[in-house]
Amino acid sequence: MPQYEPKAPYVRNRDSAFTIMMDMVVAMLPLYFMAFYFYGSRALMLGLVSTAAAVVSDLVCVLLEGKKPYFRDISAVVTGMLLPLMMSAATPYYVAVSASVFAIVFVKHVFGGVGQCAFNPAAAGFAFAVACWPVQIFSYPAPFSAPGAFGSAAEGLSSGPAWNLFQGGVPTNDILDLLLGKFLGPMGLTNILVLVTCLFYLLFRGAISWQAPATFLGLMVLTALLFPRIPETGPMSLVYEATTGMWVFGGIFLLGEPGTLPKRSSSRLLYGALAAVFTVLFQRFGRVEQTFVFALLLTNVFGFTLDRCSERLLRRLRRVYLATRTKLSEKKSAQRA
Amino acid sequence: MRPEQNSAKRNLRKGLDLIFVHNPVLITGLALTPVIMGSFTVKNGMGLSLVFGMVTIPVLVLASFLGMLPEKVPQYVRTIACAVLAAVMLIPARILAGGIAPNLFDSLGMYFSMVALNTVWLVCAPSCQKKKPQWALWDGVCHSLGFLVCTFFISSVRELLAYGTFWGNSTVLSIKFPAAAYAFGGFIIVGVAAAVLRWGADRTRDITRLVRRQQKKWRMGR
Amino acid sequence: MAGIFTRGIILEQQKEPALRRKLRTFFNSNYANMLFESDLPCNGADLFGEEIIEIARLAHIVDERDGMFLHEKLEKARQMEAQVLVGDAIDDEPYVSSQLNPLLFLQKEAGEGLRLAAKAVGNPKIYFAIYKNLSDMDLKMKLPKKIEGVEIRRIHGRYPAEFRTMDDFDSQGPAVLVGVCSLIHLYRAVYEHRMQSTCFVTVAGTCVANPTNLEVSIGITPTQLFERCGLAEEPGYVIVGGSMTGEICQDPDSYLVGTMSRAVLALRDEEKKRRYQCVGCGRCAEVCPENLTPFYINRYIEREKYEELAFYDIHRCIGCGTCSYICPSKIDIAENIKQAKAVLKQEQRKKEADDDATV
Repeated sequence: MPQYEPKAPYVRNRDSAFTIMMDMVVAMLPLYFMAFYFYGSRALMLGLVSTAAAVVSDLVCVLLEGKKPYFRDISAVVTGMLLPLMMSAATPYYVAVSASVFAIVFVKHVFGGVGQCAFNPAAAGFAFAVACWPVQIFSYPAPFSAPGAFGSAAEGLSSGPAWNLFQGGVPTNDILDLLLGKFLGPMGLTNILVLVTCLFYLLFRGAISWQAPATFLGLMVLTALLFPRIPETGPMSLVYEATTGMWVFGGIFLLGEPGTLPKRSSSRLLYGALAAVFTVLFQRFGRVEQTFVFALLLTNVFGFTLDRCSERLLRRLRRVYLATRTKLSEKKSAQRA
Repeated sequence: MRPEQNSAKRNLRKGLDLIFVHNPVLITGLALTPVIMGSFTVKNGMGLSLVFGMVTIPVLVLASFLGMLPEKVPQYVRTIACAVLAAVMLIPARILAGGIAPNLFDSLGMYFSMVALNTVWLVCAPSCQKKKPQWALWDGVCHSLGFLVCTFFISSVRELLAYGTFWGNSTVLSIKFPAAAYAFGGFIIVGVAAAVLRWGADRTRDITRLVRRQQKKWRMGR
Repeated sequence: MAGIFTRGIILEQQKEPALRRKLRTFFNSNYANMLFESDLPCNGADLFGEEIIEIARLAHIVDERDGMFLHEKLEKARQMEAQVLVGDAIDDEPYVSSQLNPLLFLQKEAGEGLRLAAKAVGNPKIYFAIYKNLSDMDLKMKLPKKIEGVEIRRIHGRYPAEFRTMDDFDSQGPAVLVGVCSLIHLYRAVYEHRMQSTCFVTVAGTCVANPTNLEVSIGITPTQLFERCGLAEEPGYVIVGGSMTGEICQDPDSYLVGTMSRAVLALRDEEKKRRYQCVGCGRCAEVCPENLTPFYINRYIEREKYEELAFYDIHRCIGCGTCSYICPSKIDIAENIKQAKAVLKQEQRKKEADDDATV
């Protein structure tokens, strides 16, 4: 006889929280590979240090809460791996470490741990880092410059095309370079082709749901096409926005974070649209060049409300449907009589 | 033991409790605004505590005197009187604060004046009307001390984190977290401090209870 | 592919070796051929509707679908003037084929039984209903289109298909579903005057050596069944009922298999106890066939806020277990909902009793 009594149903799906998180990790590996290709071992070191900090602080928090640590719960690894991808490859290590510690301790565990957080931990950690050290995060080393893996690498840094866009100017980069990710930008999310591949991988594996990314990315692409914020044609504006902005990466990896995403599919669609609206507003009126995370944190607040509203609507629809059905069957039986 | 002496001892102990175990800011959650918004350097924090003390102590004493008035005087008149005194006390506070640091008033901005209407005296004044003036004074002093302890701790942490300095002097800390000086950083630090203090207060309460039980047993055994 | 838009889950049916094998009998007592006394003729053609219902009453036939007595069910159908009578052989749960297999191997008895039942109800249209899974690949045998001249309707779609059956037939008027096994028993009662003393059970599972469908005496124990079919290894746990909604059998030596048992499964203890917390992925809401939000229901149950549950329409839950199946954190959502419903029912009963007392 088993040590515990299983409950019905006795056949279960093979997917588990572990496999979902593992999918996220696997999807991030090509991004790390691209970062390694462009910036050498420092990119990997950043990822390693940030992940280690996240895992250690998660463990400490779990022990403080008086729970038993569970090593199949690798959400801290995901958060820790997401954070450095959004930063410059020359970011000092303390920035990455404090961002992931902030994300795990003050955003994830203060709100009650896995699945309970009100805000996306990775986005909040990055927002914290931007608030503290905008200069270190937004000054980028040139691709293939290979900043040293140890010590600080604060030499020869400059701002990228995202800064040009933010200032209202047109970036001077080559289009092919932009599409291949060979420009000054965050270490992990410059190559849009890899990002799109990741999106399809995650969708195919079912690690993220399609609704929120669909409306979000769709609306963002539409606004970039129809209302460019730089004096350029729509398609060119789309290329610039999509390659330099953080929203493609965010829409794939951050927006779909299961804990903060609404649960009903209708509210997920609305949630993605809301995130797009906020992102566009922050783009136009924000004060830093990458504003997606702030828009996402604002959207996170509305998750539960959207769910509640769609549930109310669903309740009403269900009642209307049932009432009409009984009415119809009554009518039928009356006809037969 | 006579009942009067007993109540005096209780009042004394209650007042002392305000410094740590019943800290007005961290445990009760009063007067959070100046702590979160104003005290991001130790100088600011000390200035705020000075103003707080200068406002709260006289107002509570006044409340106790107002309590001696006949009952015909309506409550709102008493509250207005307290508020007027609090506003008046800001003038000497401003002069004294200039003694600590010349630009304190400017760096605190509107939070300097906002201390005049702090929630501590708004909450405590009604109960102080039933107290004797000396105990109201003791109450005010202890509230101010509790506020001082809290602001000192919070502001020193925030200054160390945000600027790597202490009272304007540079320290060995090289990594700086500017977020600690912002309002959201203040919220987080106050929240963590409240949690830690609450945990500590619970433990001390447990220990005192245990000690008292042991004392009782010991006495019974004798 | 009409059912591709239905909500629910796609299950591997795992029916195969048992479904293809011939139905065998396994009696542990001499009561398998117990007869009842009646003056009615042993021929369906000579009987009137009321007489068929009377025979069903005498034979104590129980419908394995819902545990109702067959004569009560037929009587009810007669009163509401049912337009459609469906022989239910849906078996949408994995491993279970104890309705489908008898239908395929006792075609004559099932078809004639359905005709008799139709006569008792008042000659409605008759169909058999069989589940057509979206991943039908593992069914190696071809199912016939008609059995004894009765059309077979396939219920399409994802897993909880049984509760959707009514919708497929509702357009033709009020429909009544009768289990195929009880129809077979009705045939035997009419033509041979046999009492119902047997039931059809699937013996299957990962630990069973020769998964088979058996006709067994009522009151047999799971251990005896496993002796008959052979165990490949020591089972982790034994389940009576379906693999999705059945119950765990603590004592296979003394549990008595009955009409409602449907299947006895011996499963390997593969899943270790997982201690995931809910990650909030919302898959339970995506698959729920009733379009509920099990995520919030489960959360409020865990926080013991029972007053919130009415808002999420907990009473509409059909207990199919899809939410527990899909949950990546392996939370027993269906079980939690079942318990909460019991608590709510108790509270309501208490309240009603109080109201009665005050009145």
